[in-house]
This record gives sequence, structure tokens and C-alpha cells, in this order.
Amino acid sequence: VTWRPAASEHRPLAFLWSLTALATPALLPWIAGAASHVPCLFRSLTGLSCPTCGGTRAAQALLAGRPLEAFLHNPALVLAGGLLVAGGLLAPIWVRLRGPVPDLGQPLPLAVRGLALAILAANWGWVILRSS
Amino acid sequence: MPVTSEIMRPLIYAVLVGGAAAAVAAFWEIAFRGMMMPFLPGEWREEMGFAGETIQQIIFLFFAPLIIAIALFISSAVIHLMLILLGGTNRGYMATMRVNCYGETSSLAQMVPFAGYFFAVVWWVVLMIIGLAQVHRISHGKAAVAVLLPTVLCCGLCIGLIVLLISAGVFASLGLGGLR
Repeated sequence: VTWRPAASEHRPLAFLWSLTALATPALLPWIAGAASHVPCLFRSLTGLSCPTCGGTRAAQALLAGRPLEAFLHNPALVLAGGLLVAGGLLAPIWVRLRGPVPDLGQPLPLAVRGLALAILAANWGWVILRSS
Repeated sequence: MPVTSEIMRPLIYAVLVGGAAAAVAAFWEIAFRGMMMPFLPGEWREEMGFAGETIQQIIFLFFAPLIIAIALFISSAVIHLMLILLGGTNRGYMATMRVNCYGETSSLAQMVPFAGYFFAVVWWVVLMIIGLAQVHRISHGKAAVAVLLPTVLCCGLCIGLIVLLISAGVFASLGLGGLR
């Protein structure tokens, strides 16, 4: 991965990321409420949890002020959500300061991709084990 | 046409097209619900709550541009993550985001009453596969996996089930096959 200073072309993306980060806490009650009435069809049909199962319960736990419980419901999803919010709040400042941004324009090495895939698979395994 | 920089114009295009499609789709839904209402049993009418549903839809339309922009940002991130895992990122996130923004053209199919959503999904998948294959210079198969895998794992089965049920209903009503 090569890094280069943030340019003006990154500003709209940083703004959009920031907007998403600000909207996420507002969407949490909706996820915890309305989405809880929608059953996971992957689970209904296969008997297995899908990779994003536990997201609604995690949102409910976060709203109740239990971050650890939320993390245990689906670690990767909660971490990704945390990164989305934290990154979104920092992105406009980072771009304004011309901080380095990664250029993801080349395929990553096989080992890195394998590791990422293993982490996602392990998370899915955890979600399945926890819900069984 | 640039494929990596300048995200603003594609985003504005997507928000305008998506917003217009959502408005027409909401109009059809409100109109057909209004037309169906007198023929429904009393308890169904109370449960559906025409006024409440209509107000909800109008509120949704007000926030539609924001929701479309956020949805594009997140769905592009998920698709780009899939491309990274598949080793198919010959250009950056901006390229994936641009393809997704122009793929929003498919939402125009929502303007067709009843089957519009189904056509929009199919059209979106086709546009995304072609667009990602061109922009990232990858095979159509790899682009298809990047687009379809997250959908299949999370909600694709839902779409598949709906398609299956609709097909079964159509075949049964026509008296074809053994689906009665």
C-alpha cells in the first residue's frame, strides 16, 4: 500500500464519511427497533447465522450502555461501526491537514488478503458459535 | 471520463436520480394503497393506517437524498472490501464509488409500478458487474462475486425467495408446471 498526502479530491469523500458518522448514532435506535422485527432469512433457510447476525442485538446493547456485550454479539461489526464513526469525525480534519491517505489502487499481497479473510471467517465462526 | 477522482458530480447525479425514483415509487405506493383501501376488511384497514403510512413515506422522501448518499458510501465500502479480498482493486475506492453512483441509474426502474423494485435490483447488479469489470480491469466473474457475495450472505436469499414465490405464483395462476 502506498501513502500520499490528502488532496482536494478527498474533501467530498471526507465530508460524506463525516455525514455517515454523524448519522450512525441517529440510526442506532432504528436498527435496534424496526430491524429487530425482520428475521434473518439466511438463518431461517440454512439454520446458520449470517456474518452480520448479532448486529441488531449489538445496537440494542450499545443503546443500553453495554459496549462489551455489544462487542461480543458481533466483534467485527461493532469494530467496523466504531471505526466508521471515529474515522468519520476525524476525516475532514485529516484531509485539511493534508495527512497521508492510503492508495488502495493496487491488489494487496496474498498474505494480507488471506489474513483479512481469516479474520472475517473467524468472526463469522464466533457469531455462529455464540448463537447456537 | 475520469475514473478515480472527482466524486461530487457522480454523487449529485445519484442523489437526483435516486431521489426522483423514490418520489415516483412512493407516489405509486400511496396511490395503490388508497385504491385498495375500500376493498380491504375493516381490521386490515385499521392495521395499515393509511394516514400514518403516508406521513412516514413523506418524511422518508424528505431524508431520501441523505439516505441515498450514506447508502452509496457504505455499499461502495463493502463492495471495495470484497474486491480487496479478491485481489481485484486495480484502482482506488473512488473508482468503486463512482461505479456505484452511476449504477444508481437502475433505481429509475422503480418508477414502474409493482415489479419496479425487482427490475431495479437486476439492472443494478448488471450495471455494477459491467462497471467494476471495466474500471478495475478485472474479469466479469470476479466483479460478479464482489457484487453478489455480500448480497447473498446478508439479504440475497431474501430476494431469491421473493423471486421464487413470484415465479411460483405466476406459474400456478397460468396452470403451468407442477407448482399448484
